Amino acid sequence: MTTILTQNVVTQTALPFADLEQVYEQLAVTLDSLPEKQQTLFLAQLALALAHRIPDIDQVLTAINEAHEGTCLDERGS
Amino acid sequence: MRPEGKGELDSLYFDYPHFPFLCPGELKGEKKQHRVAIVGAGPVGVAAALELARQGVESVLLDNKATLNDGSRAICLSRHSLEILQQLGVDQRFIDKALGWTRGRSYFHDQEVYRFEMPHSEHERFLPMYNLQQQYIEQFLVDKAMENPLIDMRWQQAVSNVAQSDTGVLLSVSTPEGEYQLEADYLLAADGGRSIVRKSFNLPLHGESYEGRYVIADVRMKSDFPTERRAFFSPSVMPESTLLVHKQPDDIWRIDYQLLPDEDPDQAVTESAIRQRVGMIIEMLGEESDWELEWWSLYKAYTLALDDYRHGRVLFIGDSAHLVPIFGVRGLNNGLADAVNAAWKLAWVLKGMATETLLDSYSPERRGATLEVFANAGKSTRFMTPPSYGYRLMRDAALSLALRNDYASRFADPRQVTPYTYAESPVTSVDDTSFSAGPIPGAPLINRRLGDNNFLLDHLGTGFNMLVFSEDGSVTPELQTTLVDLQKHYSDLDVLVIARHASTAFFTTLIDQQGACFDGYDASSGSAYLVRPDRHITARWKAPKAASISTAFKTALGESR
Repeated sequence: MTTILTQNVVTQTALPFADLEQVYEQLAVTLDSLPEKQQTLFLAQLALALAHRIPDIDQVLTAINEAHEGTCLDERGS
Repeated sequence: MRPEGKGELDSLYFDYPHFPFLCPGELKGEKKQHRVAIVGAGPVGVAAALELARQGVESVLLDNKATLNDGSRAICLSRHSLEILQQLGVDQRFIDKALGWTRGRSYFHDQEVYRFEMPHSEHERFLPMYNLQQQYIEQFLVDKAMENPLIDMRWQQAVSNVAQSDTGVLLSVSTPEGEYQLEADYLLAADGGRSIVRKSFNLPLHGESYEGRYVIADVRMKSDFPTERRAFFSPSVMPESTLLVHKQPDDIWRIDYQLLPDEDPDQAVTESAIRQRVGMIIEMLGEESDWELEWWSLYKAYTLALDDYRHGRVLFIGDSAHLVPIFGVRGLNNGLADAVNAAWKLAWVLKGMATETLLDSYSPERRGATLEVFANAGKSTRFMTPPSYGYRLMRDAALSLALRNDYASRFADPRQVTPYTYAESPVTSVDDTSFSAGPIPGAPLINRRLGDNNFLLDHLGTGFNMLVFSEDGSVTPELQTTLVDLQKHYSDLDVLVIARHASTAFFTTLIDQQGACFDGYDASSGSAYLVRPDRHITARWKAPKAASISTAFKTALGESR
């Protein structure tokens, strides 16, 4: 890790980055194990399962927003 | 490869030297057992020769070429490497020529999503990274080696086979004027990825090879864009690919791009294919000036290493021991660290100041560094060139989130080379638990500013160094006796006292008026750090005792733990 992040706004309850990396790897491997048409369904189920574990609706809605903005970037750029 | 009509050494900006063949003593009937033979006069082999010479040991350095490496290859030198070059006395030419940098940017679909800044402070003499073509890196090192009477440079002498016995190594060497046998006590194999030495002993590399092939191309082009690392993920000109751009001296730009899985590599490296692809990329970068093609090459990412970097009297250094992917600039930088690690240990064994067991620590330390590299390089490589649909989807998800969310931008971190800490090494002492900060045993020294153009690392001696912290420069009579006794036993031990204020002192004293060294090393008056010739800390104490210093020294030289 050689970078300094200037605006690292991570709340105290956030998952440590090393764990987030593990999630990244696990998701990549799981996605690869699924047939293509089930991947979207899998991700939607995962979103609901994770949301169920967060007792604060605002955080969940913020996350939905974050992801939505990300896809807008993706479409505009492409 | 170079454009049609150009020779292998026909560069737009670099004049390749020609090194003549000089008839070696062995071909004139002289018999000599050399102390150390080094195979391969690339940057790693020459750095090892310079470190041996710095420690007072002669070496003979053989290379089959009559000049330096063709083409640019490695271009990034880390701060830690510059600190090595400083110890070798060659840093100034590097600083004068190289382009230093501290930052980089990542783009996704042509939009900037992430900027990174590498750690830097007023306490560092060197910037985090420097770009310099490998020819210059080799030239500066070779020039220094050729003026050193302890280094016997033998150009145009190819090693074809190597054997060893209990007393030494035997090299079969072919030259323009015939073949001869060269004998030496020890051998450093710095002969690269296709090492002849490795093949002579039938030693296999183990590890993985990654999906994807990459082209590296150097072009000459005038541009005011600053020296930064730029990474383009899914750029519009080649949406399935990843692209890296680096600036080098002499208006040379390194363009590095991934070939598509279905692309024929033979076709992709034809001059017309390179020109077309590079032209598109330069247009995308928004550069409008003319450009000329200098050199290009094709490579594949590997994480391969020998199981043991020591094979009896042979130590493998650099690419002969390990092949790493380029992402993170670890090949050359780790090779240089291998070179000085192997060289100082060998020198101390040959000088009779350490037993041969010291050499046993070379492989755990440097192979440990390689394995850490592999762990990081695997992640970098999977991010740069996702090997499957799942990895690509996750990569694109992280990059899409990265624009507005820092937690995701860390995935785009280039994970560049950092010096490895030899904490688990058999020659590193257990840490003194009363420290709560500062570099731990096994870690390299950190630099600290002492004044204008004056830094802690400028003052190190060539052998071991003992840093002793003191308010006024005085040390207790007990510690002074211990250190003087040690200096009688180990002639190559320098004691550097770091004092907050000046006074007459027995040992060499550095004034740390701002207390930067005290703070950085979590030291109080009386604390001490024992440092190896390669600047790695071997032991430290808040309040040292004579017996523990002596024990730590023995541990550092492989005598006990």
